[in-house]
Amino acid sequence: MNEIFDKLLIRILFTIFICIALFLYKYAHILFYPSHKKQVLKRIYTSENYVDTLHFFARLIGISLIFSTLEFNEYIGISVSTFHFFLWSIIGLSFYLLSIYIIENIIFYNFEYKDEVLKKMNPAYGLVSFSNALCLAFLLKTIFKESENSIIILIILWLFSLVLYGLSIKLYKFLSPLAFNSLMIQKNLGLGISFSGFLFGNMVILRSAFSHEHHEIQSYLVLVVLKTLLGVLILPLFQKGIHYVFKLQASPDNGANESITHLGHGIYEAAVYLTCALLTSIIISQIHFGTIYPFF
Amino acid sequence: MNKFIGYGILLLIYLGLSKSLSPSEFGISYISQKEGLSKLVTGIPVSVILTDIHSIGFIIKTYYHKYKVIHGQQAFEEVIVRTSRLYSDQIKPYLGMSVFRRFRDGTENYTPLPPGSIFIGDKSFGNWINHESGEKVWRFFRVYRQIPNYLGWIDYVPNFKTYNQIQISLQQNKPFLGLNEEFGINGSITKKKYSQYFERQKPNEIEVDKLLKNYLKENFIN
Repeated sequence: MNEIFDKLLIRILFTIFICIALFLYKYAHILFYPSHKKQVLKRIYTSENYVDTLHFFARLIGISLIFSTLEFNEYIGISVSTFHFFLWSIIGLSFYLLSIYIIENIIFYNFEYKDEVLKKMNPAYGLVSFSNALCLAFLLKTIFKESENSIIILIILWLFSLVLYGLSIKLYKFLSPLAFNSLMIQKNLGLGISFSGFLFGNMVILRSAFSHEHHEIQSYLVLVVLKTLLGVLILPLFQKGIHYVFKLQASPDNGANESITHLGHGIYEAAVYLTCALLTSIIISQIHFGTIYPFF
Repeated sequence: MNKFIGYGILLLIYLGLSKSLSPSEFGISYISQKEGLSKLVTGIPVSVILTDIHSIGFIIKTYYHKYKVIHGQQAFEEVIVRTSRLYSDQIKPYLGMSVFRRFRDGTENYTPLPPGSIFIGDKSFGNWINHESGEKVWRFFRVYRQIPNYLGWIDYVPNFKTYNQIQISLQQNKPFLGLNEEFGINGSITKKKYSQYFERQKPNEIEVDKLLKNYLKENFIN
């Protein structure tokens, strides 16, 4: 019975420990969002500004996602495993917040958090920010897993994934007729949904590109590039296939409200892109050919 | 139109990168015709025996050959090469035979002959002895007694007639499968020595009910 109580106590202690890590996150958040200082430090009224709630809690979900990759091995010693858990949770937090900072500067280079969220309560901004935070968390989770507790490999993979993710974001203007900047100013929800689908789709492809065995970092990175490139080649084929099978086309201009049209188009774009990305991930990472060397 | 050009360029980049960085491009040589063997094999005297042929791929096949390189004064080495379909089809009938040899004077020859033809009649490797049947047969010196094993002769003993026929074939550049056609894809010795090749050639007979039963057992019951 003592053993059972001991194990339960350790679990409870770790729950408290994770809460402390979240407390640390709260203050780390202020470092990257000084304008958010007031909102974070005072009591949060979640119904006051739903865009801000969306913006803030997306990060919390992201942090939880990254924490979910960490492991605590009591059998190697409680102090060592606590230190390991603490160190890697700090690394995870820092990398995650840095990733969000960098990528949001790419996506929202024309927009300010203070204006769009705190003043204008722009739902499109909130939605894109929410999706971006989740996508980065999923991506970072994969990278954490692949780095296998090596900080050097983690840094290389993190930088590499940010480059690929950042580049993929720039492709939106080639894939969608929705103008990001002008519709974002108009608080267009259709754009928010469409861009969110696009981000999730990119994340799915990049995750499957990163998820494979690696013995040597150079060949692993080459394979990631090749898989990403393969994803770029396969995805349009699925898009064409879905358009052909379901006879999809943009709605005719029959004088309907523009925001309604954009909303429908945004949902359609997000759904098709995400479907295609998921199907592409099967092609690029779930077809196994075995060894290419001859067996005699 | 621009989209198609862009897609084509991306496809070319993908194929180019895949080819140049593929592990199959490293460590395995490619030969498109018999003359390619000369570059792969060094030393004199040397005999190269084709020991296996294999192809992989579902629609577009890649062909591989396995060769045994016998130097005579050293142990043998095995070489695997990637090859073309044309060359693979051309050389297939000569499985188990010597398909390349380099003589002491450095001259090279590609006529398919029984394995070890280069050593038969070479006085530094063995001599002719009188057999009970009255004919002269080749016997390697004691120090080279492992060579017949390397060559895959099993119970084959070449006689003087074989030697003469080898010399004629070399002059005429005409394949020689053995006096009783013991070598080559239909040869009795080849079939015995390289049985794994013939095993692979057998069509896979699939018993659907057995297959389904095993599948269900492995995936749903166990």
